[in-house]
Amino acid sequence: MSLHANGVGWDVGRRRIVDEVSLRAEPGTIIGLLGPNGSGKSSLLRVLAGLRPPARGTVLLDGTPLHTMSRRAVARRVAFVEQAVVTDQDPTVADVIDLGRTPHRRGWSGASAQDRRVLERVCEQTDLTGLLTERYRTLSGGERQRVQIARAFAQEPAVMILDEPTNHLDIKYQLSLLELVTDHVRRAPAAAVIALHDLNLAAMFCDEVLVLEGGRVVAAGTPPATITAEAIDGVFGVHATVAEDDGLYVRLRRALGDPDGT
Amino acid sequence: MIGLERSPARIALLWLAGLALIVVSIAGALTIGPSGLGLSDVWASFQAKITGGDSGLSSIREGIIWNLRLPQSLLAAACGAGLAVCGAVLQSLLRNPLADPFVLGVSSGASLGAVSVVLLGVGAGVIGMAGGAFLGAVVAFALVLLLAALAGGTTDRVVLAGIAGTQLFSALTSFVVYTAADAEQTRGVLFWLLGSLANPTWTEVSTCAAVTAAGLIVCLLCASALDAFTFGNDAAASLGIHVGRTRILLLGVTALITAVIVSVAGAIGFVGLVLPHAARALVGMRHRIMMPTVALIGALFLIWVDVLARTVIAPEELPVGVVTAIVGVPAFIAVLIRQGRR
Amino acid sequence: MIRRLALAGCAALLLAGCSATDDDTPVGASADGSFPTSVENCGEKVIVDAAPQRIVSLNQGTTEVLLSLGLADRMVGTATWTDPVLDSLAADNEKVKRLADNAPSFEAVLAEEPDFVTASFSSTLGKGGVATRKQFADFGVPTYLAPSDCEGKVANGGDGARDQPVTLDAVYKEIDQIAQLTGVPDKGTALVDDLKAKVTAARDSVHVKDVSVLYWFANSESPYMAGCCGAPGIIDRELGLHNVFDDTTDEWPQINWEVVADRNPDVLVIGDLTRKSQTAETAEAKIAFLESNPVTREMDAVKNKRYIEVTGAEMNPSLRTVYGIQTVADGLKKLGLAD
Repeated sequence: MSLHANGVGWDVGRRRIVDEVSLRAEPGTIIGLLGPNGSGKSSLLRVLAGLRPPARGTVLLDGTPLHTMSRRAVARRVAFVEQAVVTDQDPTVADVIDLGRTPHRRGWSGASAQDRRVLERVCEQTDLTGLLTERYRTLSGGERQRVQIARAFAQEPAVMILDEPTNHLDIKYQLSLLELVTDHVRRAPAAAVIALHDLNLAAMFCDEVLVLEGGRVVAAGTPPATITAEAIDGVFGVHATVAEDDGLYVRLRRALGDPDGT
Repeated sequence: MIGLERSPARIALLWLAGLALIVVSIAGALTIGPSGLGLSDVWASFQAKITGGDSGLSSIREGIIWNLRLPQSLLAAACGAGLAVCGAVLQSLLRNPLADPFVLGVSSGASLGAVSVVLLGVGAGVIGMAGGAFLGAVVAFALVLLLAALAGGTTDRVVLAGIAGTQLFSALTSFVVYTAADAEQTRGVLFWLLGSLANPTWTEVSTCAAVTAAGLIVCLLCASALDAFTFGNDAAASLGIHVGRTRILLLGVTALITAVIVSVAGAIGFVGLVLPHAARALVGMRHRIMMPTVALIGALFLIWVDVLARTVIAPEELPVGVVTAIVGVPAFIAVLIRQGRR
Repeated sequence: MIRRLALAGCAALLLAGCSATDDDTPVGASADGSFPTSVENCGEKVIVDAAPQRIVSLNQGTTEVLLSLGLADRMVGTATWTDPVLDSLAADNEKVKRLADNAPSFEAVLAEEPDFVTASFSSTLGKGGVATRKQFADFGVPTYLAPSDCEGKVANGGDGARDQPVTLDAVYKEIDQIAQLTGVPDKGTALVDDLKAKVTAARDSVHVKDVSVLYWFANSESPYMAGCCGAPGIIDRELGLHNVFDDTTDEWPQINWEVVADRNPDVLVIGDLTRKSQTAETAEAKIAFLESNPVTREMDAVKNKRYIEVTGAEMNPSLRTVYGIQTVADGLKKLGLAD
């Protein structure tokens, strides 16, 4: 199932937060969204996930416009993971992962056999079987995001939309989370659109990258093609050199006195 | 306790025990009261009713058991269950652990409606105190929602609008009581404002019970949706919930249940605030399990609080809202400490 | 329930050879003390089938009427006491069980198995009080409400304001009707005559010219003063006094002390209450307040200590009002304002 966005725009009042964004997320691929804060990444992701109707343009899921589908139908195909969610309730890990089965369930019904099978598989996938009875709030940030990813997997989505899921996490968790997503994307196969802050992570995990600035796409393509020194300077306002050795490596330069000269 | 969430058998057992406890409590409450009718009298009367014989009690004393104590206990059960469920739903929906059934201004609107009818003669004798209370509650709720919508409609705005509404209607109620009531009337109105389960008619009991039961069923059907709200409105929407529709439905249902309860029994506080926390501590947060549990706890709690209210200063009767506060505060502290220890 | 009892009563009378009594008998038809009897009372028809033997009185007002009619032996409970009982009734009052100092619960009243219940205030027999009249009726117990609390007030439930001043006629009516319903109409007539004589005596003993008064019930922060038309109004009319607050129809409005000082009445009638629920209940406390408060101590009445102390009950529309007239008359005489 593929997610296509054509000329998508989103406004707040009269300000255009997102404008003329088009992308194609195909099964088995990961699209990264890069851009400084305020470039419209979060808003775009919410439009792509069907949480907000686009002010302009269309979002199509396998050719069907998202807004013509029921909420439940969308939720069964598109899973959304935010940066860090808070709750005043006190759920266990099992409770949170179980939330992913919500779109597959009606009202008051309990867990079906299918639900149980999916949950088992997802827990194995995310290595959370041992933590099921723990309270969500006692987990570390990285563990919590892993639980959120597990919840997203439990929705059995064809498309995953993630809004900076690795922010504030230890390196180890940043990598393991993105590995999890990549794994799922390749195996299912599913499509994924991830907003990332870290240029190196984007380079490591994304098949395609869109760079946003002021709500518009200023560059799109493979990581080596888009994550260039000029792009980084232009969009992020920092000097960097980009080296390719066994993968892409972005090396940022410090503003004054760099030991390497320049 | 966490283990309880996972075993349907244990949950079922818990619920059965709860129901049994409620039945036993009501039966027990039938034997308690200032008129000295005890277990043997109740038993004799019960047997007489079944066999059609004579219990040896005067008709007034029979009436005390079956037409005074019984409806009062049943009303306590219905109100306790209803208020507890409303509190639980509102805490989840508004993502506020301090929300209670009165957070949307329903109770103070009901108070204003009631005192307007009784003290100002609004309605010209056509609607009684209960009718005035119900209308006041509905109007207050509508105004609060309108205010919340005007302010942006987000969850925190709803809570703030509720606070504003509550303050306004409480102030108006106080104004009416202060300017229009004489000393005797103030005493009568106050008793009701503090919550009173005393002397309900069978109509009041059945209305409360029916509305509470229907409301509980609706909320149970939305159990999945309520779970989905755990991480906020966007998270719920991304899980397939119609956020706007579900919120209006649940807010409306809780307002209706609360309005009916308040118009019959006045403002009984603490039940909707504290008991959901106790229920969650007992069986976890999944609403499918938690809501029936909180209903059972609420019913049980209020049955016994009512017994206390009837006996503690006998032959006078304390407003039940006073007792729920006195009992509720230490209960709340106990729950908080227990949660803190985890 | 009542209908069944009424029918049984009719049947009994038929058997006894009396003419059948119709439920539509007009008021006073059984003024000869026979039963069943009925009166129209505050919008309801009160039917009593046999002379009550287990009377419960829920307010002090009707309690003192019942005791004055010599019914202590037929009373099984009293409640809601605001003042000490009238001295002359004290001995009889001892014989009757006091159910509660305030409002008892419905069950506590029913526990005495009453066959007749009386009250002075509609709030006592309303929701939030002991129980409604209908609830008593459902238990087969007829109830009687003092007419002074439902007549002359705004029709539905009352709002604390009177559109017609209360008169002693309401009290006399209460006595007559209770006497009829309890089967002692002669005692009722005698009591009313006695009270009327007391009133006449008090009235004739004073000749007042241009004396203004106020009646202070309780509370020193926002004092409750009598308006035109409650029981103090009766005292005013009988003794020819002028209430400085007769421009308000509220029975007990709360007045600002500045207004009080501004109106500067000649005499202050102050209530000596024994309850403890508000400030300045006793006369002593009231006088202490008046003489220390910077606004009130400049008033003529305070400077000259022109106080008349009355009990709280005397300022409520009840037979104690008659005693109130006497007390105020005596007080005026002592202050030298009576001629």
